[in-house]
Amino acid sequence: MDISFDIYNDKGDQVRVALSYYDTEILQAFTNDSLTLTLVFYDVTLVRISGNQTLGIQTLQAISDVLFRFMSENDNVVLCFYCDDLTDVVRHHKELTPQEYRSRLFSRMFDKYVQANDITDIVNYGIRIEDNNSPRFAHFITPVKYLSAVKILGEIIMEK
Amino acid sequence: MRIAIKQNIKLIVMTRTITIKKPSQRMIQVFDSLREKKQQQIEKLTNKKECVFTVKV
Repeated sequence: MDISFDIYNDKGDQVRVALSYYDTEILQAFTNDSLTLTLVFYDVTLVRISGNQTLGIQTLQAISDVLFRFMSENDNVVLCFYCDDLTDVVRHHKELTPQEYRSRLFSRMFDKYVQANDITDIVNYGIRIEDNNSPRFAHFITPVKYLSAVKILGEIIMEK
Repeated sequence: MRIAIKQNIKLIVMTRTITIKKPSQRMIQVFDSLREKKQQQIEKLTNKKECVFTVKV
């Protein structure tokens, strides 16, 4: 089931947040671990629909709220945020590539949210790979109880 | 001081990042498929007129 939200403020900023699930057949190609196969992986995509300033804290908190509420209502979900270089992103730190900026911002949003809401059972598992001198980033937001299953999948994929 | 240290430890535990300097071909393929999924999603969301669920902040 795919789901999307529009988050907007009265300053003309609008961000579209979408959660789209990954076909589990892809996972079966990598593992037959029963716990891993019960997990449902969702892609998280954020698209800026309008506004040309950096997003404010309230908007970022609203995005985090949507994601965490989705996880709390779906026990076996792992969110995957791939930090793309497909579109530019409004940022003050121009020395960072769009993908690295997205990675740092995502982690920062996550850290602030778990601290503010005293959440101790969800982990942000970030992976950075060095691919042709251009780093790539992906984050997996998972309940702590499923972290070992996510890591198993990572170890299998890392095998040459 | 102890409370501040405890809070910092909590932050460290909740976010874990690993760096893979020489990714396997399989890992690169996984990242490629993540990127492809992302591209599809961006196109779909950009062309979508409006969402059923909206949040005003």
